[in-house]
Amino acid sequence: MEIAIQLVIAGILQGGVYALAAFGLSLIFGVSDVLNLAHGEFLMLGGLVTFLVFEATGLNPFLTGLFMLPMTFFLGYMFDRLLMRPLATKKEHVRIMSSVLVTLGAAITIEDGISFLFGAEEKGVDYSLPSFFWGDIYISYLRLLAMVMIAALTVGIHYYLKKTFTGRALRATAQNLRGAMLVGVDTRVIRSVTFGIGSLLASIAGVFYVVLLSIAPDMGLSVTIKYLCIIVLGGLGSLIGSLVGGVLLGLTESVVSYYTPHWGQTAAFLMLVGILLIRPKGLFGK
Amino acid sequence: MKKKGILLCVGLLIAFTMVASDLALAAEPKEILIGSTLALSGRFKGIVGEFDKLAKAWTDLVNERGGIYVKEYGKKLPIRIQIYDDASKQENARKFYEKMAADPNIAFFLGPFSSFISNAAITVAGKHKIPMQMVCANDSVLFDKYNYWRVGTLKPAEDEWRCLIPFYKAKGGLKTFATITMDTLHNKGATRGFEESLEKNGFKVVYSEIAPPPTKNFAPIITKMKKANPDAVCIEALSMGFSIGFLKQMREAGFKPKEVILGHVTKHVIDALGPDAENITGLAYFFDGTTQDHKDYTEICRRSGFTWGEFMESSIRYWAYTRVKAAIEKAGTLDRKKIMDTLWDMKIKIMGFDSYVVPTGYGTLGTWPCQVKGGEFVSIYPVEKGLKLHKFKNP
Repeated sequence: MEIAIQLVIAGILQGGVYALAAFGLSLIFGVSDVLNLAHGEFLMLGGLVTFLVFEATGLNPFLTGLFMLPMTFFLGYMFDRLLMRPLATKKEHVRIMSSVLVTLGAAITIEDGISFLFGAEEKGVDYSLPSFFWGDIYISYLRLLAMVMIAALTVGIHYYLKKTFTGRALRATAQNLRGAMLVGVDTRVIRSVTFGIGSLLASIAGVFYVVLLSIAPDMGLSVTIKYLCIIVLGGLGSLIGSLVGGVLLGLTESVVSYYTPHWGQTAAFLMLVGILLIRPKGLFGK
Repeated sequence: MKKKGILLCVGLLIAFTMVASDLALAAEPKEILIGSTLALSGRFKGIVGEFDKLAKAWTDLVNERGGIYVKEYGKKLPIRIQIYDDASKQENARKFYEKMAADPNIAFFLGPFSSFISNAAITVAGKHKIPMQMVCANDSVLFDKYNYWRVGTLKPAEDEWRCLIPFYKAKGGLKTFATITMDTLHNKGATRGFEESLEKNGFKVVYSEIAPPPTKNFAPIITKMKKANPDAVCIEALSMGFSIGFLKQMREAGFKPKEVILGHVTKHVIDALGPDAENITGLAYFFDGTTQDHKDYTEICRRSGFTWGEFMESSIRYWAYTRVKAAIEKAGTLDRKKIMDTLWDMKIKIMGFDSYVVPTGYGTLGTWPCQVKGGEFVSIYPVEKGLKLHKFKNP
């Protein structure tokens, strides 16, 4: 019984970390209709900056993450401004294909650039919080923090989208691009802002990655594909869906890996396929 | 008619002169060219991605000393290593070795990184009869089928952890072991050999798990391992990310076995764990010494911009380079067959230890135990020295 409880806790908390990273991707796709294959690179960059600052100054990685937010927002904003905005006026099928290729190319460029400048080896930060123990069951405070953060972000972004002008403009752009333009929303800026927010969220996830695990320049594409599966599972463009999808993935991995580690990830993807067969738009897709 | 005849003679003379000069040039090479691939990108980049610099540092050092003496030409020739990026992929390695095989100036091959990629490279060496000194490759799959044109540097993967057995027998205090292995040829071979040795020497393996390389969530495995309650946990993984993830999650789980052993411990793992890395026992292809080889190896690492602890596999490279140089000097020629015969037959000293090849093709470079102390690696070899220095991770 204790083992079952431990597996569920571990799975949910792991899922929280996944959801944190997938959030930004879901937001970007929901508003801009862009599949950002460079999303994982922003996660990696967030982790890398945290690592470099920690190595140089010993500053608490979460403080670094906080100070880093404007920078990663700006990076994401400029990423859209320079690379994606020129594609916005193209026909839909051209835009989708081009955005995949452009973001893929950007991902590879960032990966190689970072490798060249900072080395290709793994980088991890030595920062830990004690875990809570109840008999043999343990709860990692760091992972709990990630879970709390994702819950807070879900509420925060929900409030932002509902109550603020930019948030309503974001929703309008996601619902109907032309309608949003007609009512005076500068959709180009809104898309760039969305990219900025998405990148910012990815960099927060990067802080958790470098603290809980490690980062390496070549990790970006593989994690992007995982988060893509999470947002598809949860429903494209649904933030709640990302959270639920991440947790489901984490749980499945955790339980199956207990019996056979080789099938942990496969089982998670089989679950994704199974859900999509029953509900093609994902759990919370519209 | 007469004019045509003169023109024909002149043309033949020019052609003959060109061929003759080419033949003359071919008879005496300007350099010794070694062909190799490295994982300069891809999943092994973090382990060997800097070794192009190491190769250059070594060739520079040799060439500063005049090069390698080749008796056939009565002089020293400079050496150069031609490196292609195999991107950590077998098919790329095969393609590049095939390309290099077509170059008659290539004297011989240095192997790529990993048993997995070397498995493709040795087929090219055998097919084109080009000598290959394998480097970081010692899984049994490379040696099960006899291939005259390849020899190894390392002892079998199964032997890598065995240097710990006499140490732990002498030290005492450990009875049960648990192992977690990354699913690669080399790692599985190393753990298999260690587990067999443990059982033969009166120790007990209470838990053994193999996990795929991309594993990030080790909580289920750690949960099972904790239940088995081993005295020592052994982590065998080529990927630093795998090791770092496992060790950090052990910390989260409050799992503190008496001894923690990491097969491929590097400076990056130490940095990621901080003070928690203290007294982790590891295996190194290097130990402290004062031989000229020790000095040369330290020098080429310095020139490459890293320390041996940051890239442990660099020591294997040094052994392979030294074997290459010795084989050419002893053979006295760049004739491929004679070099290959020499590689099989020669016995030399590297860092004070014998380097030779056994009939199956394995080399004799093994590992020596080390331990992390104050963020640095400290050799705990030989056993007498180890008994004084070694401390259990969680006594």
